Amino acid sequence: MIDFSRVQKELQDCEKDKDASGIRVSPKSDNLTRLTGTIPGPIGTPYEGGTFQIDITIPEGYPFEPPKMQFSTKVWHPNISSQSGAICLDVLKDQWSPALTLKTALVSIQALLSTPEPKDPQDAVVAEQYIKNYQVFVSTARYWTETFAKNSSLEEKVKRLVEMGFGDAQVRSAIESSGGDENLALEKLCSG
Amino acid sequence: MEDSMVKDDELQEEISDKFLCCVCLEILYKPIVLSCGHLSCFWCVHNSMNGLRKSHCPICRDPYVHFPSVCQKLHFLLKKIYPLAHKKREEQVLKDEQEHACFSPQIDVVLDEQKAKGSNEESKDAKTLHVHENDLSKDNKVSKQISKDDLLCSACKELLVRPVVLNCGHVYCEGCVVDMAEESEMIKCQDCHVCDPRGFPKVCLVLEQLLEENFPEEYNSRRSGIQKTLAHNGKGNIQSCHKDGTSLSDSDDDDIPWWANSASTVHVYVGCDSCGVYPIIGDRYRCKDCKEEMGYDLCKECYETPSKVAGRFNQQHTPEHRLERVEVPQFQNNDKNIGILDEPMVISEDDEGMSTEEDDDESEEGPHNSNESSSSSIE
Repeated sequence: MIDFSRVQKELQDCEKDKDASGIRVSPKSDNLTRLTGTIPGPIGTPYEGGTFQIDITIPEGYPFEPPKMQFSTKVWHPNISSQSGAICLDVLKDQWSPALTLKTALVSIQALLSTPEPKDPQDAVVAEQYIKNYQVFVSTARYWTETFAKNSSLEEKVKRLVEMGFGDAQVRSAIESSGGDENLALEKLCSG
Repeated sequence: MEDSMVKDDELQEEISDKFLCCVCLEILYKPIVLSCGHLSCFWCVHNSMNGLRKSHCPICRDPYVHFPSVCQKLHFLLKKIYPLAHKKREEQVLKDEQEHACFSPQIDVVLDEQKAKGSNEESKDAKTLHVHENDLSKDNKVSKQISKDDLLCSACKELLVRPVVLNCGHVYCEGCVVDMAEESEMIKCQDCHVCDPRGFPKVCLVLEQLLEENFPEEYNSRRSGIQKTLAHNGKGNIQSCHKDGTSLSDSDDDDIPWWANSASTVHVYVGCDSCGVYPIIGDRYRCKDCKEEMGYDLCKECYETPSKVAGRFNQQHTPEHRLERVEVPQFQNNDKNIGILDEPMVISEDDEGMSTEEDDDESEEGPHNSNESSSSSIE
C-alpha cells in the first residue's frame, strides 16, 4: 500500500522551495501514483538553459522501494537512454533509501547531468561518442537541449531567426506554417 | 480526508524537525534508535529492514542486523511534548495494526501495569503515569514542559550526557556504558539485564540536542565534567570502543546471494524476538504455543540464555511455552518468487522444507528485491 500522506507531504515541501531549487513535482493524476518532475539543466553543462521533464511513477512499496523515474524530455547523455529516457542511477535502484525523497532523487538526476559516467552507460552510442569524440558529444547534447528542452516564446523564436538575417514577416509566417517548431521554420527559411 | 485533521494538530503543535521520522515524515511514533544513533518509527525501521541480508540505516547507510527495541524514554517524552499529534498518530497506527492483525509493542499498557504493581523505579513520577491512559483531556492538562526526571541516565541517575541507546531501548550516558563494557566484554543493560549484541552504539544526536535545548547550563557543565574525568582516567578515546570486533564491514558478502550456498542457514524474513537479529542465521527455535500469526522465534544464542522476553510484535509469549528447532527450507532454483516469502514462515517437521513459499500482501521488500532474487537464482 502506498503511503500517500508521505507523497502529499513531499509535494508540499517541494512546493515551498521550488524557487530556490528550481525543482518542481506536480501530480499527473488525482491518485498521486503518477507525477511529473521538472529540473533545470545544470549551469556550465551542455544542458544549461534547458528544462527537463521526468515521468515519475510511485510503486506499491514506496518509500521502501524507489520511485520509477524516466525522462520524458529527450536528452543526449551517456547514462540516459536517448530513445526511452530510462535513467541509469544507483539511488533509483539498489542504493535507494527510504529517507530519500522525490526531490532528493531529482537532485541526484540533476547531478548526473553534470557528471556523466560513460563507463557505466545506459546509452552505448552516446557513451562511445562521449569517450571518443567529446567535442561532438558536447555539441550534440547542446543541440538536443536547444531543440527539446527549451520552450521559448514566439517572440524569442522570431528574434533568434531575425538575427540570422531573415525578414520579420517572413520569419513569422515560417514559424506559423511549421506549427511553432523553430527548427522546422529555419529549414523552411533556408530552403527558400 | 484525514490529512486535514493532521494539519490541524500540527498547527497547534509545531513539531520540531528533529522529531519527524525520516521515513514517514510524521512525528516519531514508538521511536527506535539504531546503533549509528539515527532514529525512526518502530514500523518504519521494521519496514526498511532487509529480510534477506543485513540492513542499512536509511540516513547514513550504516549496516546493522538487529532490530532494536523501542526507546521508551523518548516515546514518553514525545507523548508529553506533543500530546495531540502523538494521539493522532497512535490512532492511525493502531488502525493499521488492527487491519494487518500485527501489533507493535503495546508499551503504554505494559507500563501502566508495571506502575500499578509499583515495580517500576520511576513510580514517583506519578504525573506521567496518568498521561499513559487513553484520555486526551488529561493529556492537555499535563504540562508540556519536560523535566529533568524525564532525561536521567539509568546508571548514574543524573542528567544524561552524550546519550546512547542500547539494543533494548534503554538510554545511558556514553561514559556509563563505557564503564559497563569494561566490567564485562559485553554491554549488559542494568535495567533489563540483557546484553547488547551489537558493537558500541553511537551517541543519539537528537536526544543530545533535546538535552542541550532544555537544560543548556546543566548539560554543558555535565559534558565538560565528563570529558575531564574521561581524560583523567585515560578513557578519553571512546572512539576506540566503537564497533570493535563485532563491526559489520560493508564490503563482505553483501552481494553474494546466500541461496547460492546450499549449506546456507539463513531464515529469510524471520527475526529473533529476543535480540532482534533479522534475518536469523543458524539455528532457529519457534514457539509451538504462540497463537499469533507472526509467531515467536528465537536465535540460538537467545534460546540458550535464560531470559525470555516478550515478543517484538506484542505476542503473548510466556516462559512456559514450548519451543522447537526449525530447519532452513531448501530452495529450488526454479522458484519464481524466491524473494517473496511470508514473514511467519510456518514449517512443520514433516514438510522437509518443501513449498515454503507464500505470497505476502505485506511484503515490504516488494518487486525490486524479488526481481533481484529471481534473476540471481537462475544461476
